[in-house]
Amino acid sequence: MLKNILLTSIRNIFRNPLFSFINVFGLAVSMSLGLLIILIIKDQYSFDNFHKDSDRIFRVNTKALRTDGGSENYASAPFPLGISIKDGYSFAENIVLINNQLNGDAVYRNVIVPVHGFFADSSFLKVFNFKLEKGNPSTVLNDPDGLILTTDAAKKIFGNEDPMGKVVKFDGYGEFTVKGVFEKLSAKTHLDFEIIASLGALPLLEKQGAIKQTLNNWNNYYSNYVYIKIKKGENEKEINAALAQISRKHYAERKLETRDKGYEFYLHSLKKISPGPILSNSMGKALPVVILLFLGILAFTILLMAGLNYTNLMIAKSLKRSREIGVRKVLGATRWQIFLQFIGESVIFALVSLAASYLILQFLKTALLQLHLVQEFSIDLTEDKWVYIYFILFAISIGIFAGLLPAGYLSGFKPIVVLKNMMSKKGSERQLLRKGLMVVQFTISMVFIATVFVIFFQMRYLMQVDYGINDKNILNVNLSGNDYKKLSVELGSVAGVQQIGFVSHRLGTFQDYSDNYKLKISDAPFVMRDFRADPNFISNLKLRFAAGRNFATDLPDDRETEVIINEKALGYFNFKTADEAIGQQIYASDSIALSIVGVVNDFHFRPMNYEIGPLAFRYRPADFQHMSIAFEPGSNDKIIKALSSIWKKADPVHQLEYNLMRQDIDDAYESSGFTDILKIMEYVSFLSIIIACLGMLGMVMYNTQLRIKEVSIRKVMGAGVKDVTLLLSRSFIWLIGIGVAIGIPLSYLLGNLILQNFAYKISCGIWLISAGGVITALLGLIAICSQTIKAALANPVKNLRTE
Amino acid sequence: MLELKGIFKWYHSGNNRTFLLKNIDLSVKVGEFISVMGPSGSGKSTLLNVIGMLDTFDQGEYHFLNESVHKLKEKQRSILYKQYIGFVFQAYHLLDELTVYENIETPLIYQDIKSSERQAMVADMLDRFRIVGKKDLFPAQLSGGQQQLVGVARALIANPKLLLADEPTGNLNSKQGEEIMELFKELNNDGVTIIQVTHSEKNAAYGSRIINLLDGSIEH
Repeated sequence: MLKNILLTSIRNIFRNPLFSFINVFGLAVSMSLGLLIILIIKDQYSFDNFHKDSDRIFRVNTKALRTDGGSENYASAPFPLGISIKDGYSFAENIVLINNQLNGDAVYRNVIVPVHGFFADSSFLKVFNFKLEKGNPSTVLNDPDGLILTTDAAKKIFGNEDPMGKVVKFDGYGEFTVKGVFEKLSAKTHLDFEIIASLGALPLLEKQGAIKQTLNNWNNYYSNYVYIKIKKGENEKEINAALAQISRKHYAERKLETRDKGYEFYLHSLKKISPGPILSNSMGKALPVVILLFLGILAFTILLMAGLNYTNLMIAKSLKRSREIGVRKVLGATRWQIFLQFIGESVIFALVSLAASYLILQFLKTALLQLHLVQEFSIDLTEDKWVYIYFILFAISIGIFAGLLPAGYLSGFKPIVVLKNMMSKKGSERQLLRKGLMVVQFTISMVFIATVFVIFFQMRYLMQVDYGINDKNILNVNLSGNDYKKLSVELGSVAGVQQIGFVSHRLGTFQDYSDNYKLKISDAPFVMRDFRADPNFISNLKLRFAAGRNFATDLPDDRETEVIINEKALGYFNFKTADEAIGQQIYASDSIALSIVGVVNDFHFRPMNYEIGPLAFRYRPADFQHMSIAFEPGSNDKIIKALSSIWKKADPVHQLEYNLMRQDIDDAYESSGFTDILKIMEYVSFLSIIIACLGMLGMVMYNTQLRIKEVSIRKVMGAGVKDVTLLLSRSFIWLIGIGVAIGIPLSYLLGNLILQNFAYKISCGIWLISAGGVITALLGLIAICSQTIKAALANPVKNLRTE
Repeated sequence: MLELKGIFKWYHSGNNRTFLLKNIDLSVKVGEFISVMGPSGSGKSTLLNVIGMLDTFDQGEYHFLNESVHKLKEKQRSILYKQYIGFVFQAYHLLDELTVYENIETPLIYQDIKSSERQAMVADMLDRFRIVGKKDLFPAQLSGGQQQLVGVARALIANPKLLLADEPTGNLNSKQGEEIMELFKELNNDGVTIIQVTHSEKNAAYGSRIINLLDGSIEH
C-alpha cells in the first residue's frame, strides 16, 4: 500500500512538472520560514533545562502598582522579602538570594578586565545545578570574600595561571579570593554571570556605601532576585497568598517611592522564565514570548498560503484525477484508502519541499544572523538530531493539513459518476471553494505589502525628521569610566575638533535619567527626565534659548547650583512665560536647590515614539558618561584616527566606542527592533505575493487548458486576441479585485495599529494603502495575462486538429 | 449465481418519471456466458452497473450468492463485489502512472494480500496472458489490444467468480477484438461466469445466452 502510494505520488510529481514546481517552491519557501522558527523556538526553550527538580523552582517577581493607576512587573524583588520567607514560612525547601550590584573591573596585578556577575550564597549552588570544576560547592561562598569564576572569566583575568586562592580586586568592592571555578556550561541559562561573589560581603559594602541600601530596604525592589525551591506537595496558589500576606504586613506603614502605591509579589516558574513575558530588570537574553508569537503568526500565515495553493491546485486538477479515483474504487479501493493515498501524496510533496526548504534555510540563517534581534539575544541556530526530527514532523503535519481538504473531496467521488464523465454538475461548487481560497491569498498579500509600505515610509520619516537640534558633525564617544577632563585636554588639540562637551546619556536614544522635581520644598514632586551635561554639550546641539542663558563655564564640580529646563517644563512648575522662570529656585531629588538660568525651546530628546515631555539639563560632572565632539565638516575620519591612538594610550582596557550622533539616533530605532520588523515583513510579503501569484498562475494555466477548445472555436468564429484574453482573464481579475478590496480596510487598520507606537508619525492615508493594493493587483495581473495572452495568440486550428 | 427480481431504476425529469430499467427479471447460473445487447440508451450499461453494484436501483430485489444486495449497506456491498466481481471497461481505464505490473497488482493491494503472495499471483497472470515482457511498460506505451489484455488480467487477478465487461472490444480493431473474445471463451470454459455488453452480433455469439434490452426492459 505504502509503496503504491509512494510510486504513484512520485510519478505524479514528475508527470506534472509545472504543477509540482509551483507546489514545491511555494511550500519550500514558506517552510523555510517555519524551519527557522523551529530553530529559534528550540533555542529559546533550551534555557535552564539542566536543573534538578526545575518544576519546583520559582522566582518571586514584583508587581509595582503605580500611583497613576498603572503597574509594572519586575523580575526582581526586595532582599528582606527573601529573609521573611526564610524566617516565617515553611513552604520553601531552599531560598536563593541574589544581589545584582556586582559590576565593574576586576583587577589582578596589571590586568584590568570588565566583568559582570552577582552576589549569592551557597544555596545558589544547591538549587541550580551549575557544576564546579574546582572548589567545594558547600563551602565556596561561606566566607565573605569567596568568589567563583566561570572558566572564561578565569581565563580573561588569570590567563593560564591556576586561579584558585588568588586575590582579585574589584573597583569599589574590595578584594575577593577565588575559591572555585565553574565547569564550562554548554547549556543556556537566564542567570547571566561571569563571576559570583559571596553574599556575605554585602553588609560591609552597604555600610561603606559601595552598593545601594539593600539588606533591610523593602523599597529596593530593583537590585535583588529571590528564587525559592518549594517543598514537594506545596501549592503555588497558597504560596502566592502567603506572599500577599507579607506584602500587606510590610508595606502598610511604610513610605513608598513617590510613583508607587503598593507592591504585589508572585511566583514565576523557572520553566516559564525563558521564554517568558517582558519584565523589567530581567536577567539573561531570552526573546519575549510576544516576539515568538509574532514570528509564529507570520510563518503560519505564509504556510497557510502555500497550503492553500496546494489545496487549490489539487482540487483544480480533480477533473484529471477523477478517472483514476473511479478506477481505483472499482478495483476495490475504499474511500478511506483513497483518502490515505492523497494524504500520502501531499505528505510526500511536503517532504520533497522540506529538502528544498532546508537549502533555503541555510541562506536564511546567514541573513538572519545580520538582524539586530538575533545578535542581541545571541540566538543559537545550530541544528541537532532533535531539530531534524522536528523538521520532519513539521513537514509531515504540513502535508497532512494541506492534503486534508483535497483528500476528503476527491475520495468522495462516486466511481459510476466519474467514469461516465458526469462531473460537470459539481463544477460550480468546486469553483466557488477555489475562488474563495484565491481571494484569501490575495487579501493576505495585499495586507503584507501595504504594511511594508507603512513601516518603510514611517522609517524614512523618522530618519529624516528634524529633531530641533544640530545632530550633524557631532561624534558621540563613550567615556567608559575615564577621566573626562584629561581626555578633553588631549583631544582638544586635535585638528578639526571644534568643541568637546560631556553628558550623562546619548541624546535621542531610549536612555536617560529621571528624577523628582518640585517648585517649593513642600510641594508634591513630579517626575521629569534630565540630562547631566556641561555647557559645551548644550552649545554643540545649538539649542535656542527662549529665555536666559547656558550654564556658566565656572560652575563647581561638587555642588549643583544651576538648571536649564525646556519650555514644556514651564507648565509643570506653573510658570506662565519663560522669562518668569529665569532666576526661580526649584528642587531636584527632593532637596537639591537649583536656580533656573535658562529655558530652551522644545526639541526631541527621545525617539519619536514619545511626545516631547518636560526636560532639565543639570551640571553634574560625576554623571558624565559620554563625550560629544563637535568637529569641522569632513574631518571625521581624521578625528577618529587621532581619537583611536589617544584612546589606546589613555585606556588600554576598554574598547573605544564611538558613533556619529545622527547615527546613534537612527540606531535607536534599530535596537528597538523596528528595522528588524521591516526586514522580516519585507521578506514575508515577498514570499506571500510570490506564492499567491504562483497559485494564480497554476489556476489560470489549468483553466486555460480546459477551455482551449472553446477558445479555438471562438477564434475561428472571429474573436480577436483582445476578446479572448479578456474572456479568459475576467473571472480571475475579479478575484484579485475582491482580494484587494477586502485587503484595503484590513491594511488600514493594521497600519494604524503599528503607527500607534509612535507619537510622531506619517498619516496612514488611503493613497499609501492603495499603492500596496495596486502593486498586488499588478503582480497578480501579470500572472494571469502571461497565460491568457499566450492562449489567445495560439493557432486555433492546431488545437482543434489535435482533438 | 445471481438473481434480479422486478428491478426498476428511474429518474425524474419535470413531473415525468423516466425509466432506465423497467421490471427486470434475470437469473444467472454459475458458468454462464451472457451477452447483453440492445440499441444505445436501452439500459445495457445501467444493468451491468447494477449487477456490478456500482449503481443502485429504486425498486426490486437483487440476490447475489445468497446475499440480498438490496438490503446491504454500501460498505458491505463493496466488500462483496471486491471479492467476487471483476470489471473490464471499453476505455480500458488503466492507471496511467502505474506500470502493467502495478496495474494488475492494484486490486490485490486493496484486498490486503501480502506482498510475496501478490508477486506470485501477478507473475502467474503475466505468464498466462503472455505479457511478461511488457510488465514494466506504462499503459501509454501499449497498443489498445494490449491495454485491454492488461485490463482483463487486472479484472481476473483476484479470482472473481463473475466478470463484467462493458463493450470490451468497442475501442479495438476486429483482430484485437477477436483475441479478447477468444480469451473470454477460455475463461468461461475455466468456470468464470461472464456478462458482457456488446453491440456486435459476432461477439454476442461467443456467449451461451443473449439478452436483448429495449427501453430498459428485457425483450422476450
